[in-house]
Amino acid sequence: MYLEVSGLKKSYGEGGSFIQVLKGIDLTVEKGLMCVIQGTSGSGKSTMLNCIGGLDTVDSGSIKISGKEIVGLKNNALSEYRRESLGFIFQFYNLVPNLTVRENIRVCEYLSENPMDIDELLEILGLTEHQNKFPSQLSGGQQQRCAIARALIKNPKLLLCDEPTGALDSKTSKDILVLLEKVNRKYGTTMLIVTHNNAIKNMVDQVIIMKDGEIRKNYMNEEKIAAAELEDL
Amino acid sequence: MKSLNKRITRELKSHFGRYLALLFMIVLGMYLVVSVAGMAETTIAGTDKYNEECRLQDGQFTVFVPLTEEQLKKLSEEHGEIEKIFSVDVSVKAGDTGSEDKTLRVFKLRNSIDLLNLDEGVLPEKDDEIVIMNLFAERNKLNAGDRIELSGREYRVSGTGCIPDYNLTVKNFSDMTADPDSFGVAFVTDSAYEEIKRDDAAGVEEYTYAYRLKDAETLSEKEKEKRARELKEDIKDIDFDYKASGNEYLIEYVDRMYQDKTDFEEGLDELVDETNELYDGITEVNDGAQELSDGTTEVYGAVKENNKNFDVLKMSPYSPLTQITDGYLEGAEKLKTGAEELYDGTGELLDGAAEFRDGVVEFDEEVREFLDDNYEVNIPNLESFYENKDNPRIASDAASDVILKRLVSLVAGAILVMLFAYVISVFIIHQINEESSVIGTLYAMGVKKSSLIAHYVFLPTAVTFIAGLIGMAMGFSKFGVDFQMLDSYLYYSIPKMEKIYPLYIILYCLVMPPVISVIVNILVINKKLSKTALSLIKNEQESLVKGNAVSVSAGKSRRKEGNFLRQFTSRQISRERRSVLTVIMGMVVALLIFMIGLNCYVLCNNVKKENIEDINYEYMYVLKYPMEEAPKDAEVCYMKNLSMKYLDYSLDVNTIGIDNDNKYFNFETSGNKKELVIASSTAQKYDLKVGDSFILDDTSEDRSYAFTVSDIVDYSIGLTAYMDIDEMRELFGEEDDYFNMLVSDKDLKVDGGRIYSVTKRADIENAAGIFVDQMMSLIVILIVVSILIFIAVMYLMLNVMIDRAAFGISLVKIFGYRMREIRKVYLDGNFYAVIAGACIGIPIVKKAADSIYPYFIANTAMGMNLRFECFMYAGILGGVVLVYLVISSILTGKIKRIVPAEVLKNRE
Repeated sequence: MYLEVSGLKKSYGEGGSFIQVLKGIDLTVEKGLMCVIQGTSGSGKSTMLNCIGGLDTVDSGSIKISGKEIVGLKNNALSEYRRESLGFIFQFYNLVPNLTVRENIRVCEYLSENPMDIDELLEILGLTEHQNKFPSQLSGGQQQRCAIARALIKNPKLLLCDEPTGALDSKTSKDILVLLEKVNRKYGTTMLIVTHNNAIKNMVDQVIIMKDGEIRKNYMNEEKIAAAELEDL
Repeated sequence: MKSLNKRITRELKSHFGRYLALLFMIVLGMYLVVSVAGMAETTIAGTDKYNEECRLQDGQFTVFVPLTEEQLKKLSEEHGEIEKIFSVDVSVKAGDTGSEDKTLRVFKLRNSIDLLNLDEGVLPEKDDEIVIMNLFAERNKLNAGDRIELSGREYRVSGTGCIPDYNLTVKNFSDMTADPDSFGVAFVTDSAYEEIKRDDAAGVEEYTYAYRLKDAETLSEKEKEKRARELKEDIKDIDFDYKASGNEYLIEYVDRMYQDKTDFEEGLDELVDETNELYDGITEVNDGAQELSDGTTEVYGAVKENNKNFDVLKMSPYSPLTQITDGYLEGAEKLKTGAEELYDGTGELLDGAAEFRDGVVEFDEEVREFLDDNYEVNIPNLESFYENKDNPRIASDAASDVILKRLVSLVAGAILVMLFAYVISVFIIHQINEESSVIGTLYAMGVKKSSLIAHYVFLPTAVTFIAGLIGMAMGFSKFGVDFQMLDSYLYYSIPKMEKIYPLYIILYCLVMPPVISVIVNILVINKKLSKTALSLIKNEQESLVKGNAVSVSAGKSRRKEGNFLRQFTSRQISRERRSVLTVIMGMVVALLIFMIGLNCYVLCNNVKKENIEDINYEYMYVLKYPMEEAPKDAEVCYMKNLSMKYLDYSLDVNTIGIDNDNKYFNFETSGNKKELVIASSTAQKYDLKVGDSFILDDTSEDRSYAFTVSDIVDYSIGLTAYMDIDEMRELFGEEDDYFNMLVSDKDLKVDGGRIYSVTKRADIENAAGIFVDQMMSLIVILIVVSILIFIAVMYLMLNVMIDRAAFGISLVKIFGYRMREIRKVYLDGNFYAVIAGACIGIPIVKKAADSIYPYFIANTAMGMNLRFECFMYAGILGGVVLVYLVISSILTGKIKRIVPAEVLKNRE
């Protein structure tokens, strides 16, 4: 297993405002799979993603990436973990506003010993002609493609996507998903995609449904279709 | 808008530390302004009041011989009030051990001019009572009721006080600094004064008169000068019998000046006497010749009568006898004729002698007339004449010292407030950027820009107003004005002054900070809020949407990774250029204040160091009445007090005539009357270089002399210039062997009555030390304030930069950037900006501080060696780096505390 999560618990607040967001999550994801985590607001899917990404602490439980435990790591070690293994894609892109598209990508290119070819990536993502523009000069879809390029440039083993299409229209969402699919195929990147979007589960290998901090369903999608064929996005 | 305004308190709470720091700095700035400006106003107003109440003189003059009552009356009727302020210098035993030799200048109590202002105690009523100058008393721990010994007599201190004509208590007009520790003034009863004066140990009595011109208050400065000149001329016109002075040294001195004439006159007297004697002798000879002639006539007559008796013998055998008697007669006749001729001859001789005598008398009269006309040694009964503006004890008073401080403090305060207003505006821009989408939404909902501006301006305005209020209150407290007044009280002999509260200072504190804050913030915010609602909602960055994309090179090589970080860093600095610029501005302002403080220290230290290095002699005597023969072990010089204008002040430039082999002034003069070798201090003060021309004024003679600088020599004590002594004697019409200054490495034991001033090596070392001591508090304040300003501005700005970059920091943390890399991008870039700013700013600021510094010590007769050693520049740069590193390490903690989850909050 590439990703192993067991007994993961996470809570916020104290006393009256205490909320148990994750109530003992167990899951595994194999290397190279695309996995979608679905659930309603407050189900704990984003919190789980943050815990896996080492962005948030856990109350208890274990998270292993390639057999290596990340729970309990110090900040520096977590940094190294993220630096070596992870790529992040956010709903609202989170580009550095005073850097151009190319520079935003280079922010992460710098972190890798063996980065992808930036020009090739720009080409694949259709950003070549926009590479010297600032984020504010781009559409939402272009910004998200830039964010994907930034996440992919260092060739991460695990790509964590938090509502990657949440701020995009249907067509652009499909384009982004096609892109992710292409990346997965080409580079064998393991992907965890948190989404509200029910249609996305059709294009991935593994589907996890969460509710109230628990995994209600966790199954392999035997009837996977190509992203380009997705409807009702 | 009401709900929006609720955010004001939340904003204050959430950034309490930031606003507190700002408040503190503005309070500090206002406190300093009020302290200094309030002190200046209090000092100026207090000095004016003091001068008016104590009836400050318009000027003073010193004469060789006291004026008669009639002369005084005539001068007073013509020019205004004139009062004797005679004095004698007396050695006293005082100080911590009560045994140190100090000098008190003792006066009688005054009646109408320069009245004594008592700080404590009462005026002396008994002959063993004395009032001591407050500053001297304080320095020597003397209080009313204490006892003090003057010239072997003990006096009870009946009180302490001050007089307006000794505001700056320099002993001699040419003294560089006051030394109230070892010199002061004192007042005793008239009879006690006479007693002290008679004492052998007392110095020569100074016959000084203070005057107040008629209707002086209505006269312009020009008119006052004209009236003073008229008074001076009238004093000079007064007949002067120097022998009446009773001053043996003066009489000897003037007699020596008259010696040639006297010798001539004595020769004439001798000639006349001898001529008279000759005439008298010839008269006697003539008388004798007459008597002889008369006698011979009688002899002849008798012989003739006798011959008649022998006539009867002619026919007798005795007739041969008649031949004998005839022979007698013939002989008698010849004798008579000869005697008559002798008498006639002596008569002629007598006539000649009489003519000779008359000729000699006429010659005597003519020569005396010639001598009187052409051999006049014109010594008016005027030793010195000073108008107030030229009297350093009055012109360099406490009030003159603070005028520039007031201006500097007001300007510095305004600059500080502007700086902090700008700092606040940076905060607000950051806040607006953070809340851009909210503001855009409010815009879209119809909220007016003016309402938003008012909202954002309110908090900084309130903070600056409160800061101004607190700063003003602190400034007017005993920790402000009263504390600042201590400097004046420590150095000037002035009464305790009543604190005043000038309206402009109150307005300055209460109105200026909020107004500047409002203006700066409105300008900045207005620009920021001029964007469209959509643009604000999208939080577009104006500098970026204009397409000024400067592409970071797209190198593929790993060797360019470091390069990328540098580019990322420079992009970050570019983004934060406003904050970086504010840091640099703050640094420049802080450096300017720091540099003024450091200049002050360097100047004082250089003065101390160089003064000690430059003294080659142990004793320097300036003689009021030079002796005929210089003591052995002394080098003779001729010193003349000339003056030169510096800004509004006339400063003494002691021009010294020296021999080229003078071992204490070991340099050569040019031997040209039109050229002077000047001291380095003079060159620094007047910015003179070799070849420059300058003019020195002889105020006593109303003459000016133009000179060229032939050389500059290292000499830092006072302001001096040098010329060959023979050339100088000739230039100023003195005798070939004239001198009035002695320098020696030994105590020459010169009679006190001859001396105008004695300068010992120890005095100069002491005075230089005092200079450093009295400036030290100001130096410390300036340096501490500047460091605080620098720390505050740098901390606040770097802090806000980190706040603004929090999202980016959080983002790169998510990506796995290491702390070292994050620091490099978000913090270390500032280091290079600060270093670059410091490297450029330090020399510029030094130049600026050097340019304004002369105004600070315009009224001090000293050079201005503000030269820094290289290590000092390195030290300043090191200090900047150190401050940066300390703040940087504090902010590193802040960066560490930024969690990656920060990004996750970004949900629009």
